[in-house]
Amino acid sequence: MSIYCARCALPLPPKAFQDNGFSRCVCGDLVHAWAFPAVFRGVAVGRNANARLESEASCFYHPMSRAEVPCARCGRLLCNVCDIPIGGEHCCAVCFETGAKSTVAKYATELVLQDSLNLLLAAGPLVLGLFLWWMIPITAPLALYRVFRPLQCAARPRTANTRAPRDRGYPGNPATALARPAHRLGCDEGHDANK
Amino acid sequence: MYERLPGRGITMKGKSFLYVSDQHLLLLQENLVRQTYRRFAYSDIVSFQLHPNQRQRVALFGFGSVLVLFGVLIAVTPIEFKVVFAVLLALALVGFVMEILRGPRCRVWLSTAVGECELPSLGRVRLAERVLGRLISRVESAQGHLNPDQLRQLWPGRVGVQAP
Repeated sequence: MSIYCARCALPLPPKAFQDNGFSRCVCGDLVHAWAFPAVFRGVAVGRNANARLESEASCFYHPMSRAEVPCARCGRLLCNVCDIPIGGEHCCAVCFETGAKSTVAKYATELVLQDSLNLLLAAGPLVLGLFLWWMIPITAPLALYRVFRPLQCAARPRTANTRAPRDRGYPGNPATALARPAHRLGCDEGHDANK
Repeated sequence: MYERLPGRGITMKGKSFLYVSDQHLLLLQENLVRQTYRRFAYSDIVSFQLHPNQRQRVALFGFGSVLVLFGVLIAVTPIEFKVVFAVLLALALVGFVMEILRGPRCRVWLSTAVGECELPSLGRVRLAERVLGRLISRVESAQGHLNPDQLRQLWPGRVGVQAP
């Protein structure tokens, strides 16, 4: 167990952890480091999946593993390995990537700045002027479309197929959830991602 | 609630900022159309490393070369060009002085049990030490302090090494 230099990947010298200044690493680089008790904790070990018996339901992604919980969004049965607990509910990796991650702020890893993108589309050719002015007839309508498309989605009546997965909860029958076309789930998720 | 820490880094991926909350440190990287977030829980941070480098000298050399170049151009060019070169020289002089005032440059890495991440917004030694002071107090309030006996265990194979 040691702490390694970020430049040369060799163990840092003990003097680097002293409070009174810098020390020279083996690679010749000056370095000052601070270590914390988490260095002794190591990497947490995940849960194992249980083997499935003949009469038990199997995980959707791992047929040999026993299903433990259904996904709260799509209803697929999940084993311990596939289960992602989010705020009291269970979620599969696909739903986590496509929906849950963008609706739960603390899991979001990226945000597309739609307003900046629209502004860039609309004003970019104007700013660059001489060379790209001919793109304005293409980019300006595209920017307008991108601005008004979310409003159009919001105004559309909500049916079973356009409702956001988070509103639906567990549908009860995983087979019906799997039969749902995936492309119809996206409309309201886009709104949530923009908020 | 997040509080933004001082410092701004500019990398190939865009601008970079640091924010602190009660539970974690947030590294935000943004370009023109996209923001990317990385969160580091205080309880997961293993170490910080601060590596001073020579980039300030390189920058000073660059600014100095530009100053000399414009000085020569002011001396040899006709009067109508002198004003233009004087303005450019003044700008280079401001950059030179700012570079000196902001102090030596550095690179800072944060490491967890599963990997390392550079913190580009901490690009100056003075700024980095100030910000790391705040971060270290938060990490130690979450994890506790590493005592010398524990620190000595980081070098078990080295005979005669005195732990700090």
